[in-house]
Amino acid sequence: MSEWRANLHPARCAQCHAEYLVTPNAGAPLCPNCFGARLEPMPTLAHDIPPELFVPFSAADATLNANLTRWLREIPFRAPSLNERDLRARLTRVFLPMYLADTRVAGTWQAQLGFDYLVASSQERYNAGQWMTQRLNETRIRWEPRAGEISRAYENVDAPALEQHARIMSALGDAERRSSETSLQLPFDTTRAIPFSTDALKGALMRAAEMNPEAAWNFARAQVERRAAKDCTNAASAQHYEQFEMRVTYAEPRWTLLLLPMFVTSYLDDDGKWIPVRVNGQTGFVSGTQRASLKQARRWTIIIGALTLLVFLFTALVAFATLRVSGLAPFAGIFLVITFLLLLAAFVPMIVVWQFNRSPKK
Amino acid sequence: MNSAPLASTSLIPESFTRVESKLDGITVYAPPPRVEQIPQAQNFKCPNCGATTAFDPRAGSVTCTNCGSHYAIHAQRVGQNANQFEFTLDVVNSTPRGWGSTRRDLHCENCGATTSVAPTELATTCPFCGSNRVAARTAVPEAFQPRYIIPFKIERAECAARARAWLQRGWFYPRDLVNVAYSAQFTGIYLSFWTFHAVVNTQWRAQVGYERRENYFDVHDMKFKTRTVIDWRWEQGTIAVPFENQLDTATSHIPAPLLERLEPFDLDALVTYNPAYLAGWRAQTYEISLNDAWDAARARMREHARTQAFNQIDSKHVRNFSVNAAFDDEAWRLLLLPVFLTTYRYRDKIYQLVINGQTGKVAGDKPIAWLQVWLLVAALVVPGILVAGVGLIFARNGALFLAGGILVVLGALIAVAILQRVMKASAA
Repeated sequence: MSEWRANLHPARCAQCHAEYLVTPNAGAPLCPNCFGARLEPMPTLAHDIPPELFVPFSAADATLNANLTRWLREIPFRAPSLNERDLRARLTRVFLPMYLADTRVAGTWQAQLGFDYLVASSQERYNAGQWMTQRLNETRIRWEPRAGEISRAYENVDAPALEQHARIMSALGDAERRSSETSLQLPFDTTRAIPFSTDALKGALMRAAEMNPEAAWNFARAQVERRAAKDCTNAASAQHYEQFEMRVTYAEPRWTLLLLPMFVTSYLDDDGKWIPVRVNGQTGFVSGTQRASLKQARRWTIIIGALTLLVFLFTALVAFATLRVSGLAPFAGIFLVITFLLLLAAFVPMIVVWQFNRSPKK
Repeated sequence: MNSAPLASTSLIPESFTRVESKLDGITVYAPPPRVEQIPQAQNFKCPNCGATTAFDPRAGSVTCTNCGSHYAIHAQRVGQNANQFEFTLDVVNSTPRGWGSTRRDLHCENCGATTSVAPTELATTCPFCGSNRVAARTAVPEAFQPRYIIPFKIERAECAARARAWLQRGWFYPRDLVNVAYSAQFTGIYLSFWTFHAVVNTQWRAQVGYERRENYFDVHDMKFKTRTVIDWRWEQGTIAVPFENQLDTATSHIPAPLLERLEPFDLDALVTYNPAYLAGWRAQTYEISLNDAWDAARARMREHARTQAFNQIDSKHVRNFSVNAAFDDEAWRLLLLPVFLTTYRYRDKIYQLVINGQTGKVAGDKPIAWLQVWLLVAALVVPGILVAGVGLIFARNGALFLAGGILVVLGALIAVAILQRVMKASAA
């Protein structure tokens, strides 16, 4: 057993095969990835890589509550388990792994680089027999070939450690500006990462890496090329690039495992299936499949239907009474209209739920 | 943790040269800068005998006036595909300067024209105004390097015959005018012209009226009548008007209408500039700046575009016509085109005569022989007056008077037509 995780136990979901490290007192929680099975202990992890950095949970409670409330408000006829109190009670802290790669690039490059330049132009307007001239400066791009040598170090290049990395990251919100400048489109501000200690995992699960660094290298290399292309463009005082090509060696590679914070909660749908809801542990952004409850809608339809039947019976009585008291005829008419409107209203919950679930929002 | 290193083979083409890099750890190589083909200063001495050489239009080469040796000129025929230049903000500063050969400028103290001549030439007469008040001066420093040229095709010796034929044409010019052609000294000169290219994307909007006939009841006349009414409605349209190779003179000492009458120049004959074409000939750098010429050309283009837009309207009733004209793909060129110039003096007045050095077309000013014109007018009108007078005074004959009157009217009509033609020729 690796020293760094002396107090943590490997566990695995029998359904989705996601691997975790759990604290000894965590019991056998539901898999926070699929919620389809409970985590089972396992002897060792497939890729036992110690984390070096982690981004701490920093989403404020108020933000979390507000985001959950806003997310819930969008769902009509919610299932009984789909309420803020239950969602918060089921919140589980999970750390997601990803790699940061440092490497030194040495070799040659070539590209078509675009240089902005200004061209004097004009726009003329003719009105009431007179011309008016408006001078304009248009920016155009001149494309020219450039090549060169590159010998630069690139640090903290993002690479995924999970097969579902891209899908999970897109679910956790829009890319943070500071992260996206140099890396994958991450919804986390990775500059706030701090050195890892096992204390960070208290009360939390840690998802284990599914990919080893060799498998993640292709993603990292694409990031390095993108950053190198930008650097070469800047070096040549250009503003745009296309057809960028590098022929380089990647030396001194160093990998760091970074943990990203995520809350996971869930609710039961009509079929008794747990639907996961993910919350960004840094920004509080909420995402998950929003499903309206057909059962709830049916209950409301039955209630309104019963009310319709009562009003209809009352209308019938009033109608019979008009045989004796002719002055009641207008009331009978009014009740008949109310009966008709209630009958229409009885179908509304079913239609709303059907329409909402046709295109469930994530 | 490790990664698979990649083999490194250089991607830098051998022809590329190193340029400045703004970042440490990255070097930048660029294609070698395109060297402008500005030939070194040349004196055009014959390598054979040392005598002065000159460009020979007939041979299309530089020819020694002493020993007759020919030297080919290396220039590429580019025609209308000659490069055009954008109106970049820095183009004026970066455009190469000078003539690329040892020449000197002669400044006319009478009309202000500046002419570039070979250093050995003792020019004493201004080709533009015929003045002898000409002084040598340093070359205009900011002159653009001419990039393209149409070499002379017409020889100087042909000019007198062409001028004679042109001076003889037309009966209302002095009969002895043809004699000046024998003494006229023709100066072959390359004049600077700008050409402009642009597409004017024009959007127009106007209220267009359409006539409609309608019946109405006139309460005064108590009957139905028909009248024409105009229905107005807003209409709009777009039109892209392209302009290609719009020639604009860059000299201010020959009236632009006169040079326009020399057109067309066959721009398919454009070749890359080589100073050898100027050997033995004069050349004038531009006097009208690129900006001034472009302003004038743009005004002309937008007017043309406005007319084209207006012609899209299918009605004679138009009001509140407005146009937005956006210029696109603007480009320019500086050309040297061959022209023979002369001035001649007739009855103490100086006239200009120009000949297209490529096509031989002649244009110029000619004095009008007004005595001849008025005698003709009199000859046309007086007979009718005489006939009418005889009919009225002596014969008391109404028919003769009427015939005289008709003759007067006919004569007057012909005379007016002739006078109009003469006035037009005089104005030109």
